[in-house]
Amino acid sequence: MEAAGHKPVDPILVEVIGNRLQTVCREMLVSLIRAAFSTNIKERYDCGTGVFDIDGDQVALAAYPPLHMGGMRGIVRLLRAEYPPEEIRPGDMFITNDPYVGVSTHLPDPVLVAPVFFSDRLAGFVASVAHHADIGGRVPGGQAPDSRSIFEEGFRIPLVRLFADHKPVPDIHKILRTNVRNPDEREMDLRAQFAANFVGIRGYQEVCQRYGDEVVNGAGRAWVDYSEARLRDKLRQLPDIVCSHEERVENDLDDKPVTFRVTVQSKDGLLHADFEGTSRAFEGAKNIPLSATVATVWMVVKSMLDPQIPASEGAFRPLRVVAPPGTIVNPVPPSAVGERALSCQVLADVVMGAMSKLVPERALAECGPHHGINISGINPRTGRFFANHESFAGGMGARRTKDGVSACRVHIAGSANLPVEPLEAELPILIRRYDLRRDSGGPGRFRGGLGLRRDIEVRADEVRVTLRSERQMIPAFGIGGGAAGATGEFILNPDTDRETRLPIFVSNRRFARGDVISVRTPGGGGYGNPRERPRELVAQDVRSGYVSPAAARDIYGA
Amino acid sequence: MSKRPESSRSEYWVGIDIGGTFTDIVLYDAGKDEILAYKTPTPASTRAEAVLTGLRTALARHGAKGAEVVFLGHGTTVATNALLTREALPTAVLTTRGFGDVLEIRRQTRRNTFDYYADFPPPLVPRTDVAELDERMDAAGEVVVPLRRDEVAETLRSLVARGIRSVAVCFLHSYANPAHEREVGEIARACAPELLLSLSCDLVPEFREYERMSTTVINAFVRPAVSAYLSRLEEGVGQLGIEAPLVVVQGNGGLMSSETAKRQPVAMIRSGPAAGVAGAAFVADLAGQKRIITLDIGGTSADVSVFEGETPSVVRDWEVSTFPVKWTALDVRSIGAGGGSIAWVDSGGLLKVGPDSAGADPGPACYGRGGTRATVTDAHLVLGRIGPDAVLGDSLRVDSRRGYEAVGALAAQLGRPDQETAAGIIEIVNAAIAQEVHFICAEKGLNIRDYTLVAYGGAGPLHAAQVAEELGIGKVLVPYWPGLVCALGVLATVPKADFAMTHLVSLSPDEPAQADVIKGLFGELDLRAGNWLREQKIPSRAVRRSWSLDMRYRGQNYELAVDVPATDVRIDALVESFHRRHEEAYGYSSARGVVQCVHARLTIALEVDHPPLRQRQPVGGDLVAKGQRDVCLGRGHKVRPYPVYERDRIPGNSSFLGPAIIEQMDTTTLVLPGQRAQVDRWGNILLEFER
Repeated sequence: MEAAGHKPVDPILVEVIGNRLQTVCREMLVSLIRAAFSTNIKERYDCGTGVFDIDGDQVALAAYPPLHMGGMRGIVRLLRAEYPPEEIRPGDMFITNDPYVGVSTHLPDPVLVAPVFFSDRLAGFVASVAHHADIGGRVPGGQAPDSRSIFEEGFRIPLVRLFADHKPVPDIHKILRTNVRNPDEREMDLRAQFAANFVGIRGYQEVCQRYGDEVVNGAGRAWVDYSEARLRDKLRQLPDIVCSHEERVENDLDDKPVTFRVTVQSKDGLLHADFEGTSRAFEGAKNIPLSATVATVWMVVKSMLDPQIPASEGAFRPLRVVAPPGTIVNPVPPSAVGERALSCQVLADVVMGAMSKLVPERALAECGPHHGINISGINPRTGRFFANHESFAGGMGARRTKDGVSACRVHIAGSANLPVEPLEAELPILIRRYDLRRDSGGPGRFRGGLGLRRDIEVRADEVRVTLRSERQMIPAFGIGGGAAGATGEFILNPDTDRETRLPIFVSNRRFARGDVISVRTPGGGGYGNPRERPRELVAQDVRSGYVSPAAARDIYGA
Repeated sequence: MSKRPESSRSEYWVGIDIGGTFTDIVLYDAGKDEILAYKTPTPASTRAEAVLTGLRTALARHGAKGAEVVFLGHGTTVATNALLTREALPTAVLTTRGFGDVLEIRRQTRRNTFDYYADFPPPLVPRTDVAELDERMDAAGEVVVPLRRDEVAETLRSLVARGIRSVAVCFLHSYANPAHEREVGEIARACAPELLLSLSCDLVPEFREYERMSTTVINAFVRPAVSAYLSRLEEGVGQLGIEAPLVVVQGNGGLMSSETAKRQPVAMIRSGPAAGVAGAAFVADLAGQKRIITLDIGGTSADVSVFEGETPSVVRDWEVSTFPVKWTALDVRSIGAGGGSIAWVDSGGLLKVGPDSAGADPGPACYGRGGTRATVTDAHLVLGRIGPDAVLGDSLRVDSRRGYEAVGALAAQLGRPDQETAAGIIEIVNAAIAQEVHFICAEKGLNIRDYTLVAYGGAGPLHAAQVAEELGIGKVLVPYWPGLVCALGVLATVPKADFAMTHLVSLSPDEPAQADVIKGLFGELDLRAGNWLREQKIPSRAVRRSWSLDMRYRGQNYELAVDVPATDVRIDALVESFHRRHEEAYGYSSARGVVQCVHARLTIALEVDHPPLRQRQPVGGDLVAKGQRDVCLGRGHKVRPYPVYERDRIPGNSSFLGPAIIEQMDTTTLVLPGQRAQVDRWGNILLEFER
């Protein structure tokens, strides 16, 4: 297999071709969302697409949750390491979902990668990733905090060829179908990923047709270099100081919190992030694969320093991440990783905490992470089995110049909620309330965003519920004198004489008709001394019901 | 309205379009069978007085009397402006207890996942003006918590006491049972008649509470301003002796009476670009082009829309300044690239264009009104596409020196020659527009090569030929009056409305009786359409109805529209059509999947008489260039002399070969080498490459 080379390209063409490849990526994403079946992909956009040059550098990314960049960026290098060039042919597509080979960030997110050929030679690659509703394993969906090894979390696929000559490889498909709960739906979602890659291949070829594959690769490389140069430029402007931040994290399986620790230093246009001092891996499923750890650092650094930098490999190059093997942030097999999204939220807070000392003008207090719920059972109206997965946002931390946003997905997560009305039309539940939690935002000169409360009444004889959380014992702390946000809670039958607090993690527990499960997500931390908050803003918060009169008096001194 | 204009007495059709920079008034004089145009700068805030002054002047200039006006159509930005400037009378929201924060929570997402400091704008109605009421319906429309009339009355009275004028009422599941919302409406009529109430069950009886509430709130928010504006306009129009009813353009490209507009002003948002699409469709039809992509380039943005087959694409869920709207509108996408867009070099050394714009004031550097940064217009000047003696807009002359200076400064920063920099600016803008069109076609699964690009707006015809070339589109149509397409659209379109309601039911071919359920839904929609029709004032020959159902597989959360013949609703045929539609749209269907009906829809359009709107009689004589100019086509192209033609001296029914520059009052058209320009008898130009 011959591969295209690079041609040096002028800055105007770099801008034109760089944007064009980004458009190819967007076209892939919209095709993926259009053709998918799972609600995760279709309604919550939990998916991503990428375009790569022949060196394996990701040139363009389209994704709502930034975490997917971590899931995809290593895929082409892995492919080239495992398959000799002559075995990569037009019409081939390869799949893996194994976080322990450096791509995908948990098993339900398979990555599908395809080579792009132009005039009979290799010209680049495209890839797609999507969160499938199931991937086999001990529990539906594959995500349970009490999974103790990756083997409980689902079917683990090493990098294998899934399509050859544009057609499914039947043996692999048979194995896959046999190991997942709803094979027809999985087939449809995989087909959507296939369709997205197909659109990407065609789009990339069109660009080559217009400019020549060597020019496209030259522009792609320049685009990646440009992203790198922009980030390095910002890094050089930072003071050369060493900043650390440490944070305890809840452990679902016992009461001993563990520690995240990071030390950052910006030196000579490089950002060093050293996780030395971080605890050994969890026994449960909140470990964060290295690919996700690096993506989290990238996301925080890019967001703080220059949000407009193209999401390409270039913005990763100046990052020097040291994550000791066997820790939460670089687990080794067979540690479970399914719930990495929750712990990643705290990890991002920790990185942000250290970075806020380096870049105080873009500081952000700690954020309230989301809480998750799975409900399944038999719907009495239809007599059929149902399963539903949702996550509810916490409050964003306050910022140097303004309050935190209430009930908002932060950091590496970006999925939308599901509207109440269609949910109630489909499922035997009634949402009693869905509103913001008074006094949950960390007090400060700028207030942390509020967490939310969602009370779910069971309207079936029996349902099974799994609840997942973060920051129910250790709150999101404030900065610069700002106070912590409220911790999250799961309450059963609130405001009745049967009211009880549920554990921070509930696995597949049975609830009966009339039970009300109240999910209350944590608020974000405050920024600055609350007594310096202008009176009129405190008064406005009281009138809006966001702050109680007692808190206004006692904490804000109003 | 008469079928054919009679020459014995004068009749005028009048279309008024308020654009960002200019207000256009077009009069069709039926007696003389000609179109008269009047252009005036749009004042900073939309005021009825300014429109009336313009209308009075336009009529006087052509010796038209108010009584001779038989049609008066209006496209206005008043609703959008009220929203963007957030200048409105105090507005309140009434909603179900426990759901008072829906507007604040939105969909839990961030505006930009990579920017912790980028927030959505605060809700139009602050939390302090949201009142929760005891009441609750479930999804089946059963009452879970009854409404308390005393609480409603007390709340309404307190709103009045606080100076609230307009109220949005949005209760959970009101699409399934509107009783509580309607009861609030009745109580308000009795105890607070001065309040303008917008009920979500009247506007959008569809599920998804946040989007429905947002739409209802937008309606309530702009309603007092729109009502006052239209009432004042009607009064002033009456004083001019005009008896023709005032009709208003909607975002769906159709018309509605001003009475309807005062009740549901949300329909007016996006009406400007929609009128343009209606005008472009009209001109294209005249020129024999059916499948079109519209390209409207103004000072700050380029608006594009792609027809699906021969009809404009519509969108049912969209956003206006980040607030979701659930309302049928034409699918027009905006790209931040217009004549005033500023070119700059970013921190990584790449040339960027927009999204910042010099707008109309100070405008591009070559306007000589204080702008110093290079814009797209300045780049055209340096490349010779705009002449050094061109007249811009309101009789403003080009200041070449300042245009060259601005581009020169940017070129020095980039380390490239002036001309290459200017060509780079155009290349980047054209690529951005082409990419958006390419993306829309990919999204909708359309084959771009079948299309004709219709270019209008001040800068559309300058870019169209190269955008089309980039996309592999063979034909470009430049209307005779590219600057008047929106105003012509007002005259060319028809009254139109869309109705929908949610009804979730699993369809089974084993239960043919379900057809009665569907027919029942259609019956209800038809009742609502009847009410709407009674509000319209335009005489029509007939009403066209099209019915459809939004359907999905159970387990999906998104729907596909399937057209339904109203006279013959059969469940097995519906299910079959859905499988086919799913296959078409997504490449697969699921024979074992349970098919659900989610929404029923009805679109009505009135058949009305139009003025013939012929723009121009053919001109005889030879084609004579008024001169020639050195033009650069782009990087890698040599500067070469192009003949320059004056648009209104080009004979009808003629054709000539590019390259060429065609100038007219408010636009310049670029014809590429190898392109043939066909001028039809209406003066429209069709550009096509010689094969």
